[in-house]
Amino acid sequence: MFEAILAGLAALSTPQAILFMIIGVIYGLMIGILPGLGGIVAIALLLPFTYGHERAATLALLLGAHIATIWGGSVTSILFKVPGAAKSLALVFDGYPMTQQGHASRALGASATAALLGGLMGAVFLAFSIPIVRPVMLALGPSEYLMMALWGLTIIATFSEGSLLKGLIATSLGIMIAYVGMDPVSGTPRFWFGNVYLLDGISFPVAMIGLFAVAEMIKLYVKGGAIVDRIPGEEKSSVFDGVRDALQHWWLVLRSSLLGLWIGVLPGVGASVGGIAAYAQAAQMSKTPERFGKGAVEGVIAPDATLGANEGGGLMPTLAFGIPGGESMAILLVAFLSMGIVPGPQMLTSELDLVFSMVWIIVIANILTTLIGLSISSRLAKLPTLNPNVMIPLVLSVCFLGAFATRGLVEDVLVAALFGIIGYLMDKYSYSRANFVIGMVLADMIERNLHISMGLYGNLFVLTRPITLAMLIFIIFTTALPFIRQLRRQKSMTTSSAT
Amino acid sequence: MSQRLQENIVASVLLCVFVSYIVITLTFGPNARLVPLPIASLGLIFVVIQLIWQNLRDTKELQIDLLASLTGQVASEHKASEQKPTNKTNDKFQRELRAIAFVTLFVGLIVLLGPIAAVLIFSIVFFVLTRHFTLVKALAVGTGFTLALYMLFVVGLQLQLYHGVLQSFIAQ
Repeated sequence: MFEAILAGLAALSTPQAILFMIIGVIYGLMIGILPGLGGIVAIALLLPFTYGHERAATLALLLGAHIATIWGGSVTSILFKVPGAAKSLALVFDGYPMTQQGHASRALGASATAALLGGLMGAVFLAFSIPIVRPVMLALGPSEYLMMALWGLTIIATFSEGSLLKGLIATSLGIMIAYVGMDPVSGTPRFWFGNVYLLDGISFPVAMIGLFAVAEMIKLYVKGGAIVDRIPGEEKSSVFDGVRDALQHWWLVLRSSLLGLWIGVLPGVGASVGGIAAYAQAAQMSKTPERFGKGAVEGVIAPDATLGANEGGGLMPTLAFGIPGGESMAILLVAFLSMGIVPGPQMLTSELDLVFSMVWIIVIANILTTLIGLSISSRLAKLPTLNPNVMIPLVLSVCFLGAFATRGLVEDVLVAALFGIIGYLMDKYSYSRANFVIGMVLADMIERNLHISMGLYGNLFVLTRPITLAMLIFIIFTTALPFIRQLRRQKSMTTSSAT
Repeated sequence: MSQRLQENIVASVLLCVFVSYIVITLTFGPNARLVPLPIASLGLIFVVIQLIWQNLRDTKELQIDLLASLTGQVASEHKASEQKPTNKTNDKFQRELRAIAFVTLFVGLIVLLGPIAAVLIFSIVFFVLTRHFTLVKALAVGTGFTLALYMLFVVGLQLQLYHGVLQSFIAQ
């Protein structure tokens, strides 16, 4: 284990890895600060660049960018009242009032420090969870992994935001799209309509670029007008006041980080829920809850610590079981798969040094983000305007060139555009894109493990494998639980109204 | 177009997708259809329920579906209302069409001229049409950006460029 920790760090000390880490963090900050883009778009645009480099360096680029976008998203919430992503929504409540009161630098300082402390806790958690999870993973067979994937799908569909039925439809669609191309088990070409291009299947990175990046650009154009337009006021405090605030509220940082870890580990409970939950617990446990919503620095510290810690927590099920906690983890999983990194027992045995590289990347990227963030915060506080008319052609160009670069096929550009329009419509009519992506990612795991299980244990493997059966009962229970609770609630309401 | 009609169109398209998928799946062998068939069938059931449900509900609750109401969750993103088409909704629809036209134009240019030439033309045309920059400024920004992308993808990543359908026609 100790050797793997050192090997993980050594893999990041090459010039390419250091350069990629710096590029990733700067790129992530830039994308995160642009409202309407956010972490998912940032990773989707990086997917074409994941081929042909050192694996640790590529991970540094991807994870570095992902971590930097988290704080970048907080910046727009605090300065412009425009959340960079849904998960940064809670930062608007107190971050923006602080900006209005002339404390933008202080809010940014507190936000960056809280995100750093949360991120470090996430990295420590990931490092410590590996020896605990490893024996469990090694004890599981293909039938148990099948159940894990099914559990991931049902829990994500049941607990995801928006319309549940539409979420389930989106999940089914995602799985169906993943089956386009050659069936790896029977060798049957499926849904290829005589087109050789479709035999290779839909490229996941290309689909992600379309679903998120192209769709967001369409959304931005339809929305129209300037994203933000404001007159920066005079600053009454400094970045270091914010750093001091975060350190003084260490207990709040600790509580919020633990909440972030827990939410990260649970599939389907996205970071957006985490941010709001962190804000709510900070307000509830505060001695002066009346200050919340009026510029309380605790309202900035709590969500950022949670969002920072969430990444370490979210990586654990993604790497260990191949079950992404949310859409950003699903896209990271797509990137891992395209790099030849297969989550599962192999990840925590023969690829252990790579896992520890990721732990180190979380640590280093968080420190880099905070250092860069703190040094540019005072300048950011004076940022007056952002216009989508410059962003749209530039981001669309990167999207389509990136889609083309993944396999050098012009058909991939067409697919990215098509998925862009589909992604826009899905967003407009509340068919969860996150569920679609998670369905796409888990489809192969479900099919492969089902065939292996039937081959190894027979068609009735669910009944002959006690752990598999127990997991199936657990899946049915967790899926039915929200419905049972609601029925009970309705029953008790009817009883109380009758009396 | 009312919100309900739009939702019905989307659900009907999905219904057709699921039915077609099932029909195609039935032509595969038992192993190849083992997972796709039940998944598509489940999807079809969900779409049918959604279609029935959204036509039974009050239009104000169009985004609250059967499962959401059973679990007590309410879809938060859209608050739909069956309003008559207003100037605002017409304008939004026009902007949607324009956005899709821009994307189609860009893809068309890529197929015709290859990605680098398409980026140059598209970015300049977009800047000028949206009146964000003057023609001279649009030319400068568009050229600078295209050069940056060329350096990144072609020089840096050594991407083999596609030169478009037009070049093969000219070559013939």
